[in-house]
Amino acid sequence: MSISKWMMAIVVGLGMITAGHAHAATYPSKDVRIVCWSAAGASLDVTARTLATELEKVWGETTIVENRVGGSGAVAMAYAMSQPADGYVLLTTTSSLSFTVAKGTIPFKVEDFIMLRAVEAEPSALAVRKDSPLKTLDDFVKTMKSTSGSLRVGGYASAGFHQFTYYKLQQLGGFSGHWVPFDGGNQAVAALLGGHLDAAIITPSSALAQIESGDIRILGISTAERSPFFPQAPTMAEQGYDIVEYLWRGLMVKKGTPKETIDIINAAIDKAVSGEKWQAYMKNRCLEKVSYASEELTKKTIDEVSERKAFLKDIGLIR
Amino acid sequence: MDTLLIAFQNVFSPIGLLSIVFGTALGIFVGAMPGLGPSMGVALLIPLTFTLPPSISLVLLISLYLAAEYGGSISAVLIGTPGTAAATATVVDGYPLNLLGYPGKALMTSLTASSIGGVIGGVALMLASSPIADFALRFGPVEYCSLGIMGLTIIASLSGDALVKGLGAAALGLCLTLVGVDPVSGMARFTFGMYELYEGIPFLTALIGLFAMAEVFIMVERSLGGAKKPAISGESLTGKEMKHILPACLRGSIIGTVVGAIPGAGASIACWIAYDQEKRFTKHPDRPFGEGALRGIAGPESANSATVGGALIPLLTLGMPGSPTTAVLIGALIIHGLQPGPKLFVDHVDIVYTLFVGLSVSYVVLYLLGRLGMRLWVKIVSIPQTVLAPIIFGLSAVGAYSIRSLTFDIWLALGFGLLGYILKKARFPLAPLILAMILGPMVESNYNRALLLAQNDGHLIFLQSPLSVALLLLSVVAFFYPIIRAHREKKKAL
Repeated sequence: MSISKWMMAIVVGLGMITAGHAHAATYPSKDVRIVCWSAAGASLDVTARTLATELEKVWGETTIVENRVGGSGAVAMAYAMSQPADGYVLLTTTSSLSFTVAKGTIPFKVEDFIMLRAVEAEPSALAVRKDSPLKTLDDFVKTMKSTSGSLRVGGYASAGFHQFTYYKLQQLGGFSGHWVPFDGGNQAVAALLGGHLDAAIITPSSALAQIESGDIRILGISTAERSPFFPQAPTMAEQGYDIVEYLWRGLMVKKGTPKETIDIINAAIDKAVSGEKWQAYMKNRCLEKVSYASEELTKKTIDEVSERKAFLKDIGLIR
Repeated sequence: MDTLLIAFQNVFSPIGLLSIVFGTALGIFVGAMPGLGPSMGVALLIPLTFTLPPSISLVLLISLYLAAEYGGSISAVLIGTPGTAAATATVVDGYPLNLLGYPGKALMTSLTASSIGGVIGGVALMLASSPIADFALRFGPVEYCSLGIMGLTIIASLSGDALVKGLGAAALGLCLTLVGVDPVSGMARFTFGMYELYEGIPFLTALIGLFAMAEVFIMVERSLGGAKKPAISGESLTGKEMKHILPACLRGSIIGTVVGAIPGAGASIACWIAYDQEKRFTKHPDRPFGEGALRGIAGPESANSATVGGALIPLLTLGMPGSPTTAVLIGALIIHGLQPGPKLFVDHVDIVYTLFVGLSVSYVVLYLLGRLGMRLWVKIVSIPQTVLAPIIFGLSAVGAYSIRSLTFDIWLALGFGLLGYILKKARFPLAPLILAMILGPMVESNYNRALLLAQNDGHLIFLQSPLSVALLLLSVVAFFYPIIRAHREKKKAL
């Protein structure tokens, strides 16, 4: 047998062995869809669309964002579950997933999915008006303690991320207070500016104009270190309240997606977010960097569920 | 002065003018299609603006927004279905006027009112934004709740002679808003285990059912019964009629500007307040309200267009959205590296001026395109109902599906279609039901919020704010006055 025939045999043999994995090795070979559970124009949607544009450049396949809104994400999740686990349907996800799962309002568990990457994150911050007598987080906690919770505090949503931050502050500070839920972060900012609230717990970028003009002061921010976007704002941790919390946004896929495919997607995301365009996007929207490996993020989300459950039990929402 | 010159150059460049014409045409279309609306239109257009300069993309998006508020009235008049949530009040008089054979008059009223409303809202944005923004900030949970209660009293005047039926329809509407997440606890209620209902009954889907689908059923019945349609007159507005609607346009525009600037209210509330004002203050309408009164079209249409300028006020002065559409606009600004808010006047005054000039040109383009399209749209009315009914049915199903890409929503719309048909047959007015669906969540969540803020004061908090007291007093007067007047007139008749 000539050498070329030997070579041929080897190539054919290898081909047969790898045939089963061919779809993974060539991923993506057709359009990729990112199913987003927020409406077009929402923060999560804009992140998904910006990421889609960058991913398209990385792997050269059309990458589109589809909005399937409703049921706290259940509509999008149910759709993804009905599709094959081949990596062609990616799902947006955020740290709010663990709240929804903890509340038990959706028919899915975190374990039904594999987290890929968290691509950006935003902190929570305790903010007061310019004329407030409160200067530090300690001032706030002391006032709450001495007046048995007389300050009016509120922010976006009930039983969500910002209320959870407030709950942690109450536990560490040893006081209890009411939470006034608003339909949107900017409505809480408006209520703070209009004097209807004494303090608001908000995503700082939702009051960017007021923070820069000094009309709103941040008493504490939930980042690990001082945020590059709000260098004047002291962290909660540096004031002795160990609260490091982020609302992260990222992507996940249905469980059962081949590991090779997941590796390819993760590598593509890593490449996309290191690009100039993505970096500029993060800077424009005051988004913080977060880096979790895929397994770490899945485990973190599962752990978060039990933490959230304890919180929801404490505020009397679940038994 | 230099920046103003740059602004004019931006707007009157070929790409600037093209953007306005394209944005306006697209806006009229998304406004007229039930299910699509200004916020979805703006959101879907954003990716297209990535390659445009920021000032031009802003002009493009805002011309779409403005045109969509007018576009909603086209389907309201022609097929009795509001194209947008803010055009619901236009159906009440616009559709009957069309059925009388005057679609041209109804559409011309709406176009004129929309243009005037847009101009006044825009002028307020340019000249009076800071006092209006200060006033808007005075609205907290207490004031929103009282405003919502005042809004609910409009039911009394909307119901006309059928007060009991009107209250019944409103009660049904309020019950429907109970479905979905509880605003205080954040837990689901009355969703019957269906996660599709978690965020509540989608308002636009309900509108498509109650108006479009119900109308299809009635059309089918009518054509089966062989009823004749009145002859269509292409007649537009006479000079006298134009004079008659002018005060309504002015009142509507002021209401729209202020309500639009209040972040928690918006166009769908402004249109009803404006309608109510016209009904109360017009002593001698050309036709009775509810049967094609021109002012019943002019008031709400000028109001919903004026909310565009109004909603831009908090965006420019506070960096905050005044409406769902401006929330999407803020996203667009940030993508272009601009920070909405007062700093825009400092860092990018050319963009602010381009926005002002572009907005002014948009009204002119809207008026011209609206006139141009009118001849075409009036033809829709002459399509035989046997052809029109299946088209509307198809469009409604697609519209209901397109909001959330859910088949469930088509069934939901169909259910609301049956409900609407039954209510119409039993002569229940639909307007109170719609109003209750708009205001129910606003009153409920703000009532709870106010009580959480009050702590030990309880309900006294509603009497501690002068603005709230004023709104509540107005509510009492607004609710009882029509009843007392009707009672007196009855006595007189005896």
